[in-house]
Formats: sequence, structure tokens, C-alpha cells
Amino acid sequence: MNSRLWFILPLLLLALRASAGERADNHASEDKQSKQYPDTAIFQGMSIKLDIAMPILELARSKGKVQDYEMALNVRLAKRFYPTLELGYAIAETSADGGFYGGQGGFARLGMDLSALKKGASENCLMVGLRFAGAYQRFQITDVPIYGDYWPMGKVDYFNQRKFDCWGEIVAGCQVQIWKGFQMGWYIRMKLLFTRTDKHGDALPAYLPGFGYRNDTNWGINYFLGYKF
Amino acid sequence: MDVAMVISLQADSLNAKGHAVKYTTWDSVTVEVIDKNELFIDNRIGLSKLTLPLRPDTTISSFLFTYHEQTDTLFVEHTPRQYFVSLACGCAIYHTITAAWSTDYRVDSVQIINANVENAVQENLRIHLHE
Repeated sequence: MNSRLWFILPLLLLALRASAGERADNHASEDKQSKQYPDTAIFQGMSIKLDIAMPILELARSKGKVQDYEMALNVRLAKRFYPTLELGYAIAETSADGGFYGGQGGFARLGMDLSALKKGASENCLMVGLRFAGAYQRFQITDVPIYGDYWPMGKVDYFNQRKFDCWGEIVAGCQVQIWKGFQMGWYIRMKLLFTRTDKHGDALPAYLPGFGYRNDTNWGINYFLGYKF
Repeated sequence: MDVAMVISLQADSLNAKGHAVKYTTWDSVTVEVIDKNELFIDNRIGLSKLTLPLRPDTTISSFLFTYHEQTDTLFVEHTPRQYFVSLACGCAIYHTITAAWSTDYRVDSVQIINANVENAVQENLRIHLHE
């Protein structure tokens, strides 16, 4: 119930802001809360956002074996366009029948959001966008069994491994101005992994910073607090 | 994951009317894995292919072939390599065949068709028999 409330709260705020949009424009009540730019200006400000969903989700889901921290920096251009750079770092441990994985590394996503509301909407908006992302990590996988039906097989370790992975994302979300320059909102992400195999048969990390557990596709969610300056 | 070398047969013979006939089916074949001193295939008939395991810890695997009561020794030189599948599935051993030869009591020649042994589907070796 609480998680639904947090998910819906920005949407409710967004709806309230939209219904009072014209009045807000007339009285310029929002304008006094953060620096305003002329409607004709290309540059309309920038904001920094800190994700609070992934650290909490992973703490609950993996009992702290996965830690994923990320922040975003976006610029508002021509009122509707939001070029975005997202940076993060993750530490992960997991195990399966095939052995034990431990790794850590950073990731970056670069992309663009587009306000899905009518032209001239305020800072409060629904957004859709695309990202291209990459993650570089150092990891190790130990006690990996070598499978074979006939000959006796042992186990193998992969120490000091490094791997770069990249993927694409389709994102949708919303953001609302909650007080002065402070913002809140969420993103839902559909992620498509590009680096799915290794042609040399080298070890593949089980967890990708910023992407999640290694699958061809993944879903993700961010709930962020931000500040526009 | 089942990784094994696949061997097919090519044999020319004359039928009762004296016409040349090609045989591609293993009949009455027995295969012993020499390093394990163990029968792997015991007098089987009607096999379209033989699927044999290569040793993961050496570069030569050898097999005793008995085909219609004539025995040859097949040697396969190969390079094993680890192939990581996934954390859930572990690791498999793939091989690259670098050479293959045999004694010639019944075997005429051994041909490498596909040097990469990565599953149990692709044909890797083809054994040609004397008439």
C-alpha cells in the first residue's frame, strides 16, 4: 500500500499542478520558487536528481548483497527536451549452482527525455525518453563447475576479470516541483542488453551495474528527489 | 550442456548386382575409449552417427573401433578450452580438432569436417572405409 502511494503521489501532484496550471502561470507563483527563463530561451535550467528507490529495493530484495546508487543530471532545453546524463555505482554478490559471483563497477547512461504534455507545460511533466548505457566492472567468479557427462570434471575460478557491457533503455516517468526548486518523481525503464555473449567463452558477470541481473531484457524503476538550479 | 565429437561414416561397396553403393550407416559397430578401458558403444546397428566424448585434460583422445569384426584405432588431436556458459549453468569444455588419423585395417581415411567441437549436433569427423 505504501509503495503504491509513493508511486501515485507524484502523479497526483502532477494532476493538481496541471489543473491549476494557468492560474500558476498568471500569478507566477512557481516563478518565485526557482529561477525562471524566458519562454523563447533555449536553455531553461538544469536539475540534479538522486535515486532513492534502488538502494532501498536492493536492501530489501538481496538483503544488502547488491547495492546500487545513482544520480542524474538533466538540462531543460526549449521547454520540452531534457538531455540527461545518469551516473552510478554498484556492488553485487550472488550465487547460483554454477558458482559465486562478486563484482563492482560504475555505469553511465546518456539520453534524452521529451515532455509528453502539451507544449508550454511547466516544470511538472510526464516524460518519455531513450538511453544508451554502458557499465564497466571488475569481478570474480569462483567454484564454477565444469559440466560433462563422461569424463570426471572439476571446478574453475575466474579471478581479476574486467568486462564492459552496454545496453539501451526506453524510459517513461514523471516529475513534479514539490517546494521551491525541489523535485520528485519516478522513472520506469525497459532495458535491452546488447552485449549478451562472449565469443571467446570468457566469464560473464552475473550482475551489471545499472542494468541488474544478466538477462537479455530487464525492467527497472527509479524514484528520485531532485533540485533544479 | 552435452559437448561431444560427432563422427559420420562414408563407405563404398558393391551390391549383389555389382553396382557401387554408398553406405552411411554404422552397423555392427563397437567403440572402446582406450584411456578409460571401457566400452562406449557395444555392437550397435543402424547408427547414423557416433557421438564420442573427447578428454578435457589432454590433447589426444583415442578410440578402438570394431566394425564388422575388424578393429582400427582412431586418434584425435585436439585443443580443449573452457567456455563459460552462465553462473547458473557453469562451464563447458569445447575442443578444436587439430588432427585425426587411424590405423588402416578397415579405415581408408579420416576427414575433418568441422574442427570445432561445441555441441553434439555438428558433424566433426567423417571416416571413409575401404570397400
